[in-house]
Amino acid sequence: MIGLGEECALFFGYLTKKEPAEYILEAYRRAHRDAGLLPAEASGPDAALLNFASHGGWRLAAADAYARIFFPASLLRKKLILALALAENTPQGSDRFNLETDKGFFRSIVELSFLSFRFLTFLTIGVLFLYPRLNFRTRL
Amino acid sequence: MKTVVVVGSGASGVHFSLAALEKGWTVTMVDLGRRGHEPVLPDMGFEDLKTQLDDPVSYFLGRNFDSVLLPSSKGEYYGFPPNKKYVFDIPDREQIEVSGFEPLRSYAEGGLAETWTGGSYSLRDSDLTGFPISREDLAPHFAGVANEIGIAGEYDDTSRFFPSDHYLRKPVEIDAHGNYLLKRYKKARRRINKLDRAVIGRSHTAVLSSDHEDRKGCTLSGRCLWGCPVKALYTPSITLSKLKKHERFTYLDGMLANWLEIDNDGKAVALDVTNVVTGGKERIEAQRFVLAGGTLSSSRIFLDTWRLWKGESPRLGGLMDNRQIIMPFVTLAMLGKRCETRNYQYHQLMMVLEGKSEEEMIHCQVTTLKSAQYHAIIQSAPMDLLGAMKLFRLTRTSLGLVNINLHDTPRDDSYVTIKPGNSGEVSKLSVVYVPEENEAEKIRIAKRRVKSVLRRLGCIVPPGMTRLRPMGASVHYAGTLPMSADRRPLAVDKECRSYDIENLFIADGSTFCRLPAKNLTFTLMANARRIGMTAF
Repeated sequence: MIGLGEECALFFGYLTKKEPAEYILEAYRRAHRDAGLLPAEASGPDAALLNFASHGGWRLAAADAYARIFFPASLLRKKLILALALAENTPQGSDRFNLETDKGFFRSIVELSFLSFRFLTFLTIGVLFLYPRLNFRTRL
Repeated sequence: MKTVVVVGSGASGVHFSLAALEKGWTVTMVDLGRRGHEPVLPDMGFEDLKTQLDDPVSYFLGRNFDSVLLPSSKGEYYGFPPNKKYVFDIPDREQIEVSGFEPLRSYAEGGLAETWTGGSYSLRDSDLTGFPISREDLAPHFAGVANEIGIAGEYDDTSRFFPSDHYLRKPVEIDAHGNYLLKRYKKARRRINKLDRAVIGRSHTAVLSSDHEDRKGCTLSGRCLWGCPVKALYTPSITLSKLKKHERFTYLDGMLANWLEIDNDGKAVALDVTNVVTGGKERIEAQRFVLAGGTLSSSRIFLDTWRLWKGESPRLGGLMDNRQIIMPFVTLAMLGKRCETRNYQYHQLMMVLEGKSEEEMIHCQVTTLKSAQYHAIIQSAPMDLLGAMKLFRLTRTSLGLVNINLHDTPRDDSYVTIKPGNSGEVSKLSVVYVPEENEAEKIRIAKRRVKSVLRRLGCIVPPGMTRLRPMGASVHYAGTLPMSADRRPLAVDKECRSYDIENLFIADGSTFCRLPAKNLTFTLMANARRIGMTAF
């Protein structure tokens, strides 16, 4: 398991390709510790999913896709949504939500198709790697 | 000296008071009067605030992150921002138990309409079926209120449903998505009019496109939901500020109204209130009393008055609210378009679908997505969060919401009553709402018909994302002390004077005999003004 600061940097970087400012790291910690929005410690399948995602890269993308379909209220997904909300409302991330120039209809359709393909690929990987682990832990 | 006490500073209370002052009465308004903060950086747009505020996270998400919408939370696409939470801050003693109803209540200056979206739709005679008043009685007061608050709109295909007697002002500049939908409508008009029995036009909204008195025209800051920084979007607190300057007007804030004291002749002699600062009780005497705190609040005060006067707690049947359905849509032709950061956030288009009868009419407000808390929308996309975020970026300018409003009629099985409260003072309000038997079928038909119109406009409705809002969410509560031409208990006459207590008037939605599929607030203001002008 990794600390909250490291976790924030990982999730924020995954969503925005940027490093979070100290202000964002502090807000992420505050949401867990002071505001009690999310528990600082995870257990059971939540911990297993977070542990898998904490390696970053393809494992985080696979855990993200898996959680959307099979574990939508998981702690991983909540933490990612918190990172998304922080990105949306801070100077470091808010520009990631706007298109500054027209992309055009056909280019958008191509990109949408790619996004769907990417999702299905990572979902398949997620099922292969995570379903046995989480199912086994849940049964235990 | 003619004296009247008004309970509540919302849409009804302020417009009644304005009229009563004009008629020479001395007005005392009793209110708890919770207040919000002044808008931050009023010259900045919504997106600019994210880069210019010292602490944008607290401003947009709240100090305790209350406005972060997580998958398990029960939020909506447009949740209330942290700086508007004060509007819904309810005193502990105001207890309520509910069944089938999820009400919003307010003790703020300006009441619930401090968070309204400005939809201002007048009623026709056919909307007033069952009322002892007609469109003719209300028309001068629709115009009077419209002149006071400023209502923007256009005379178009929708005008026959919302007669406006030339009071409409120039609307705020429409955004590119809205403009595209209007153009598509013009091309497909014949088919939409004939096959869907639908019309589309500009919304009627209480927002200024140019300066009026001390309010500025809309600056397209995109901050409507966060509180218009230039007061272009009307809220009742604007009128309250005006009232406070009048020499015959007294605003008593920090007061919770308990009940009316009734004498042996059946007349109200004083309003019993609790001062929330001292905790002590006070009496406020007047010749007349007006309940204008909203249907639930007025019903509770009336029922507690009745309990102390008659020793019983009757049911007030006929509780109504407009059922609302939220239908997101995607306009394919707007995919991949650049975002405009300057915008008016709320709905700029409306759609009306005629039915075989008035009760089958459907009224929709069409909002194209502009500023909002995007994480609430992104997480609902059926893919991983990173993919959903990219998807949102590509589709953002093509997204929209239709807010579908259905009518409601009074029924005895939907009612409010009171039960003994824990505080030992005022009672606990009990609210029961039972939908019409055929409601599920009405909802199914409404969804099908709206989808059909959207298809003709080149929009698709993503499967599984249409949401039925709970009863109570539209905040168009009405009907518990209805107007009646015949003298009967627990009702009011055509001037909204109680048949039971002759110097008591009810100036809010409690007196409505039915609820057309239209936003109620403008009619509340017009009716309150009518009471002030004709009965005082």
